[in-house]
Amino acid sequence: MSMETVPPELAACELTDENGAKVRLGDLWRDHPIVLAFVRHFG
Amino acid sequence: MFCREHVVQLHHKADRISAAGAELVVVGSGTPNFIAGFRETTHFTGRILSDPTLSAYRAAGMKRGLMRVLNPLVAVYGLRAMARGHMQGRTQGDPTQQGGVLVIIPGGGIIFEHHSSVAGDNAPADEVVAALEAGVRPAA
Repeated sequence: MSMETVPPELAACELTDENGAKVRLGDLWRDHPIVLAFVRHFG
Repeated sequence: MFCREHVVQLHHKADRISAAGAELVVVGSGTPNFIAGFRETTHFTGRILSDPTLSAYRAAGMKRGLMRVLNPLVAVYGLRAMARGHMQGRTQGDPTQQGGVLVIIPGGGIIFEHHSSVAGDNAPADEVVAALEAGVRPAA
């Protein structure tokens, strides 16, 4: 079964958490599924 | 208000998301110092990440543009969100950047995706969770 896969540039993105730590997105789904919700803003 | 409403709806499905062995991760376009306030209003305790350069939004194909905020549908979605008790707070981040949801499984397969067309066009949380549950169910 073919399935769309995450673009490499998304997996490579490094975002910052509230403690200032960098998190590589691709690491988040390495071991388990994730629901990745992009909100419009923090308002 | 749309952002908070959507996160609250997904957060209400936390039990089903955990039962599927998955994690809910929220990405916002504001800077990290706004995460605490967002957490306070949504009561979301999971991982929240900041993407002020919008690099992940772009890579994920999320839409952007002023007309997406001014679209008449936004007023309808706004009234709906307000009826559910979600008021607009002070906007923290790029207001023309739209959001969306991806459900990603190990290996990087995308089993569900929704790209918001206009503000307030959120994927129903039930649909997101149902796709997750179907995607992680062992094949018979």
